[in-house]
Amino acid sequence: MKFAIWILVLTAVLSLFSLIIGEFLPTGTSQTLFVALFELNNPFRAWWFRLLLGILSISLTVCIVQRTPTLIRQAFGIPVFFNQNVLRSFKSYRRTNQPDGEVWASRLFNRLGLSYHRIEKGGYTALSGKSGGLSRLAPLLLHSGLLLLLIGGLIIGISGYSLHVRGSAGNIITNPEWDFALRIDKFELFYHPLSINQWVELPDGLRGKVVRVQNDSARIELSGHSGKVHYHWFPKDSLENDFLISKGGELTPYQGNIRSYVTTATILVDDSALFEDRIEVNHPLRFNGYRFYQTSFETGGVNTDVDTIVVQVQSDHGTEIVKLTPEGDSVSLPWLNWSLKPGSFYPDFKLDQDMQPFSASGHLHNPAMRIKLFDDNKEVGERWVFKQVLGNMGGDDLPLSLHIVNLVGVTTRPADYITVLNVRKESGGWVIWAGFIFVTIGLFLGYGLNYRQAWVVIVKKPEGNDEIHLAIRCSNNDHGFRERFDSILTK
Amino acid sequence: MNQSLDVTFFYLAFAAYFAGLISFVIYTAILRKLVHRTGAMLMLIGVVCHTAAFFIRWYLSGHIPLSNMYEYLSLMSWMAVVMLLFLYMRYKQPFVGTFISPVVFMLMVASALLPKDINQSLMPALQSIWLDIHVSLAALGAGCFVVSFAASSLYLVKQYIPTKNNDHIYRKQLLIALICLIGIPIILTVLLRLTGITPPAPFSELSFVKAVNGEAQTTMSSINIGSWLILLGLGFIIGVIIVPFIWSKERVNSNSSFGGWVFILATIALLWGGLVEGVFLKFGWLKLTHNLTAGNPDQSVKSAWLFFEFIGAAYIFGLIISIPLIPLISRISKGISGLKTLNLNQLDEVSYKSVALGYPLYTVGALFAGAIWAEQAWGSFWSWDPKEVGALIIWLFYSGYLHARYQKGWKGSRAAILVVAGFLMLLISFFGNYFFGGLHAYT
Repeated sequence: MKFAIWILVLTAVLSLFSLIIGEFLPTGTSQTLFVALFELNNPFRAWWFRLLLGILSISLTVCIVQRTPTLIRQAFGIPVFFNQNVLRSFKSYRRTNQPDGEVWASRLFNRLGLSYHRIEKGGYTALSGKSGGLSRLAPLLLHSGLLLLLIGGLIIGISGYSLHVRGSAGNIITNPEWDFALRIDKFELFYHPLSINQWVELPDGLRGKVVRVQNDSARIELSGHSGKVHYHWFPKDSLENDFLISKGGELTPYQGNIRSYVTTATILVDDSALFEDRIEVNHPLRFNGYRFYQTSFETGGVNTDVDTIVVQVQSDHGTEIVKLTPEGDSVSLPWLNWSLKPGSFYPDFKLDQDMQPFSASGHLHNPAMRIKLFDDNKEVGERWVFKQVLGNMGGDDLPLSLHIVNLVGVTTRPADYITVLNVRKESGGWVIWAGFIFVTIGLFLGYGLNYRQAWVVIVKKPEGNDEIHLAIRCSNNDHGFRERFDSILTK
Repeated sequence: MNQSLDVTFFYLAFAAYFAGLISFVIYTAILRKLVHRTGAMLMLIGVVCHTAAFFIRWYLSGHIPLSNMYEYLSLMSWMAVVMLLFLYMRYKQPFVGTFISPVVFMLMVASALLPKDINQSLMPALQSIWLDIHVSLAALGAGCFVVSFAASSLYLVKQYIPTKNNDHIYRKQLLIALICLIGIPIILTVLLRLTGITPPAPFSELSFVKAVNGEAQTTMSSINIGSWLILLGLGFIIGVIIVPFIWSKERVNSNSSFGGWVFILATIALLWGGLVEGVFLKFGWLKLTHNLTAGNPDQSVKSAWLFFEFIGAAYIFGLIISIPLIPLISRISKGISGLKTLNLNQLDEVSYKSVALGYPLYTVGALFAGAIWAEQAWGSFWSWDPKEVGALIIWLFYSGYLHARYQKGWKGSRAAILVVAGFLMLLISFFGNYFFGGLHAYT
């Protein structure tokens, strides 16, 4: 028992040490010889911590082996008997004289709610009663359960398989170890309805916190640059609780108001869909021993949309300004009898290895737009127009030059989300569950039931009343049991 | 901003508990039945208000109010008061109120300092039935540990009997205590400073408002005092760990532990120091290298150095508070030692009963329900996350205590020290959100 106390306290102290040292020396930091020797930058997986858990397991095993016979006997066997000399050493020892000792003791056991056995020995009769014997199984269940938890943890540690996969809608994720594939069908974000303490975006782009919601309006707390706080009422319709914030140079949804993020995925076996399920936090997809957890999502950058592109057209007839909408209607140039048909807008124009244009990002690093030129309804050429660089790219000899002078109605939005899933498979889960069940039942038996014992020794006196020696013991509520015992004796 | 109704009820409960505490303290001085009955009645009124606050908040938020530190601490305090009333009636012992109500008061002050915003928008991970099971059972279990801490503290104060005939031993013990609690922190600080071993420069801080508004401003504050405090904190922790161990051979009376007595007084002084420091931080009268009260804690950069800095500052506050009160503390301690209406067995039994109720609740709630929820939400029963490790350490201390009670030589003072250590770990784990990161950083 003393060893168990020391090992428990030592494990507690070293866990605290590991917790703190782990904060100072996170995994991946540079290592000195001392740190490397004791694996201090991953202390909970260090050899000395594993050794400690090993010693704890041995201690538990020894305890189980040593105590099982006694505990089983106490739970199910005949209780032990004591003579009057032993009873005298009990704190609860009492002595009385009664005319018919056995009848009196039988009544006492009944009133205490104990079942009892009796033996006759030279000169005295000993009775021993007990109730709540099942509670004696508690230490056995508790220690076995804890041992199972440690074994389960070890099995998971050895056999555990963990992998992070990423994908956006339409992607099919495969792995050499899987005999199936996972298709990401869609990824959705859901927001909480507007409520108190949410951060919202106001019509002018500022952000504030909702402090009160009333019918169609909400009272917003705004912090000024000086630190002074202002309150204003705004119509609820004008407030956005799904807005973007800048994080590491990228725009990303503000997560504080997100109710859930959900990936809808389909398991494919031999290219045919087996079943579809939703994967969200607290709701993993389970298939064939594998579990898919929704861990996070990534924004995959931003997309920029532009309402209107203001283009300067230079020709022999002079300089004119036209306003074009990407993929919008044609705009005529009356002085040339031509019209411009705007095409796709590329916020960050680049050419790939095959000299094909693409947008390298959603940021406005090199805005460009494809424009087709028509003479009546006949296409006469195609141009790329730019903001950063003057000049044209199209390869025609048409006598005009186009240049973007302004972008109007620029809005940014996240690009397609990338869902991040954690895939796990392990074989020790049931051992852990068995450990939980054992310990929980053990706790219930140990602290919910009372192991109550009473002993009576009757010494027959031929000339008068029998001499009765009594003692009791109770595992959990000794005080209460003794009070009841005394009250029965008094009566 | 208008205060919500639940907070009004919380403050009503706070006021009632405070009045109850005053009544129990007065009872200790004058021993009148009416006074302790008034105290118990005030505690009962407080618990009714507290219960109302809990359910109103549940109604207002739309979910069980256990999603932030204030709500957790509030439920923990509620459980401690319920236990107080139960034990008061069970043992018909007014002193139960005298030793539990000051700890409840401390917890209520700490609760009052925490942000009380109602969170109607639970983050995805918290939208689970396991929130109700895991956090409520853990908070109720922790409430029981509060009571056992109070009983064990009083046990450690009462068990020490000053010996008049052995002054040389007393002087020796006192000298070692002073070396541990004042000498080691100062010597360690000076030595480490002289050898150039100092904690790193402070970390930058991005407060919540600034991050949301996109104004990524970095505020640097001075490390000079902070690094001294960190070393002092570290020294104090070392000293207070040594204190209970060094008198086993010098003990005059086998049932009387001077080390245990010093340990509990130092712990109580530290707790009061930490509480006063919390008030100073709350009102901006003190700033550590990080401003703890700026915005939401989960948005600020966390650092384990800050933990030692906080302890160092609490140590200074504890010294400032306790040194002028030494004559009073000594008198109260002697008074408690001499109390005949309160015996050590009763205190031991109250402490055990509380742990016997709290231990199953905490094991099933904090560890098992938490592990099952973690498996469902994160895919792993156990991740060695700081909060998980904290819960494990608490559990190990209380497991040690339960074993100690059945072991000769470990009963009494040593078992009580384990209870106090478990409770300190409970506080470190609870307030660890300010110092350590990890998967539970949002709570």
